[in-house]
Amino acid sequence: MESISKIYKIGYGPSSSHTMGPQKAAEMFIERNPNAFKYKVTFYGSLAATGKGHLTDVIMLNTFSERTLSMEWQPNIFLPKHPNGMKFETIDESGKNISIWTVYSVGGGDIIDDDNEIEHHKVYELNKMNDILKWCKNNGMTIWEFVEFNEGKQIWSYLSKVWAVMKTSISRGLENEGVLPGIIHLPRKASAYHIRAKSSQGSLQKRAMVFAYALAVAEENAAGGKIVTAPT
Amino acid sequence: MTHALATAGIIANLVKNNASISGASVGCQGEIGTACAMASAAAAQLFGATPYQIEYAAEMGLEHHLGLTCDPIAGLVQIPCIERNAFAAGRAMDASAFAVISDGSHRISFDKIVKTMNQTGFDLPSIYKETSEGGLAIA
Repeated sequence: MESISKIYKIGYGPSSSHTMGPQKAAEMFIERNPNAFKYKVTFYGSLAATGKGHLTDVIMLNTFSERTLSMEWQPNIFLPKHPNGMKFETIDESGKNISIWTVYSVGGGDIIDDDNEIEHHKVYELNKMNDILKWCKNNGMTIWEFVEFNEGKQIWSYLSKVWAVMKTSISRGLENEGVLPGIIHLPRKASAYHIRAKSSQGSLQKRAMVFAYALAVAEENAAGGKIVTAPT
Repeated sequence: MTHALATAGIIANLVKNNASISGASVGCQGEIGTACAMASAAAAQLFGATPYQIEYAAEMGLEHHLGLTCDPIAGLVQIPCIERNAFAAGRAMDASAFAVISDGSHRISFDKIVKTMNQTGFDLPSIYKETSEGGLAIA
């Protein structure tokens, strides 16, 4: 198995393949072509069909920020390598294409292009729970110690960062009110649940707090806020 | 808290390796089902569970989401996803409490439930796997 840091990804909701993957690709493309006259992105297949609902367009505009960007959506064209295809282009003053990059968002915020596949770095030899439990028993340790044994102590600083982003997304979700983006005009509920939770008591209060916190994060995710996606 | 996140990370890693955590591949059981298993394990650890009780909590978190479809309305991660996350959080608290008051012994192992979830996902028709072509999406 790979590092558990691959399970916890910090990024923007609501979908790692529709927002985190395209964002990562856009950042790489901008880094390679920082001063183009204009940029163009074409989305293909599933990414084009559900991209607007999943805020792919918003994340693109935010990532390209002040640069000139045009977007095209081709839901009926599926590129052969993967259903979530994207093509990035730079265009000069005369309208000529300078640099073209085809890239695919393959889930969990990971991207591949025509020349590269995802690299897997094996961190754990054991990949069955029964074997991990046996290891814990034989070594007198628990599961988090198994993690430290395999990942090294640096995992704790990454998980601290994850925890900080998680807490911030809860606080934001409990504060923010209004309607979520999208055609069904769903109102946020977390804030109201939190207020009612605070005025209730005992076991109802505990459970209501769990609901309010979970709603807060899920609503921040739906609104395209900064969150930790897990599992990815 | 980071120790609980580490334990939950192992749970997700096992599902990702031996089955799938993608709604397009296995439906919601692999997404919120796995998330619930992670939260169940993390909560159990915070309540002082042994590794065997943690494994039991995670197993229940996933087992009781078996067969769960992914059929979001209008392709948005909103209905049923937002409310379902809140329910799964509640269920994780139940799974951890159930595991912590047990002695950790149980019939179905976490490894077995992961394998079963994968097969169930494979057997699910594609209209229930993040295509918004069936279920709630067309209700």
